[in-house]
Amino acid sequence: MSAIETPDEANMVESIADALLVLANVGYGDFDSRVEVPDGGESPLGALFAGINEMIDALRAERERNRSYQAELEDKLSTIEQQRAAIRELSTPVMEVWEGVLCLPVVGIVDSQRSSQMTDVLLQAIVEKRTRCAIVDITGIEVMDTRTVDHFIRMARAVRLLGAECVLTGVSPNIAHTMVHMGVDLADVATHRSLRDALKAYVVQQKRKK
Amino acid sequence: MRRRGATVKPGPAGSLRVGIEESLDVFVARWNAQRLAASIGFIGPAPQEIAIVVSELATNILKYGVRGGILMQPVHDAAHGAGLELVADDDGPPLFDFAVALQDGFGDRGPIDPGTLIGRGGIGGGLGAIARLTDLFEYLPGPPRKSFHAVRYLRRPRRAAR
Repeated sequence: MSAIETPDEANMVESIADALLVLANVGYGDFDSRVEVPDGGESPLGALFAGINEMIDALRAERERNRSYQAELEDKLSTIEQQRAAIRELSTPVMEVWEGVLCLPVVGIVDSQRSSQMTDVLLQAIVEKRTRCAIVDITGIEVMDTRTVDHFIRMARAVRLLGAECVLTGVSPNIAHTMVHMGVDLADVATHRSLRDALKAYVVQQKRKK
Repeated sequence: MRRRGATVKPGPAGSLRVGIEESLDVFVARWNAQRLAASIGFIGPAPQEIAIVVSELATNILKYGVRGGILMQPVHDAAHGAGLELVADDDGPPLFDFAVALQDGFGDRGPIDPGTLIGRGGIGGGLGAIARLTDLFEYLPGPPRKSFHAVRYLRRPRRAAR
């Protein structure tokens, strides 16, 4: 950029063009470029350019403030999302969805500790509520370690020993694959596509018995 | 809630350390691990598998470690490419025998008596699960602190079946 010595027309046009370029940059979100101020800001054009620079500074400060607000907001949202997921996963609710039918919906991640807690809770509930059918719904669980799958099957056997039936629903392709590879004997566990299907099948079965 | 912010410490190059002191920290740890894993490029079931690993590491810290934390960081090496490294350390007593504890249904001193399984809060499968779901798993007994070191690569190297 050439220095502006005299306010002759050619120079003026050139510096206005420079100023327009800078403003275009600002328009694209680049707040780093500044207009070169002629005459130390004494001339009208110099005063205008100095004003433009001040405006860019102000815009930049405003944008930074916005960014920090946004970061704060995103942080809060992520905390909320995190808490929501934690609440969902922390609890292992056992619900009596029908007379004699317990449902254990499992969400999130199943690790060895959780599978052990689930067994404790389920077996206890089966005895307390005189359950005939326990539906374990694992919709949304994509992965389990082989040992955990093995523990699930053992849990199903234990449920049988207590005189109830154990139904597994919502098995993902991945877990189905793991089970077959492990050579799980599916005679121990009945499976249904969804919780709804399992419940329907149970009700139909009960009607037939009557 | 006030101390929540203090337990997750971002480090250099996308690394993250999550302090493990109470049960909610297990969720914070795996939440962050899953996000970090996804950002590194893990897809499909892999982020969930990593979440299971972090969960097992964090649960062990709570159970045996008194106080500790998990460091998660992206790694890259010439032989295996990109991956995620997990280092769990705590100030609890060292394992009696790591090789024994690695076996499914075993604690660090031997097999777990099936009669004591109810209410135990575990099935003796945690370390085995970590070994199966990662590509490198080491135990460093310390002192001063014992630590577990696990790496999972984006492209899992072939290994002998366990």
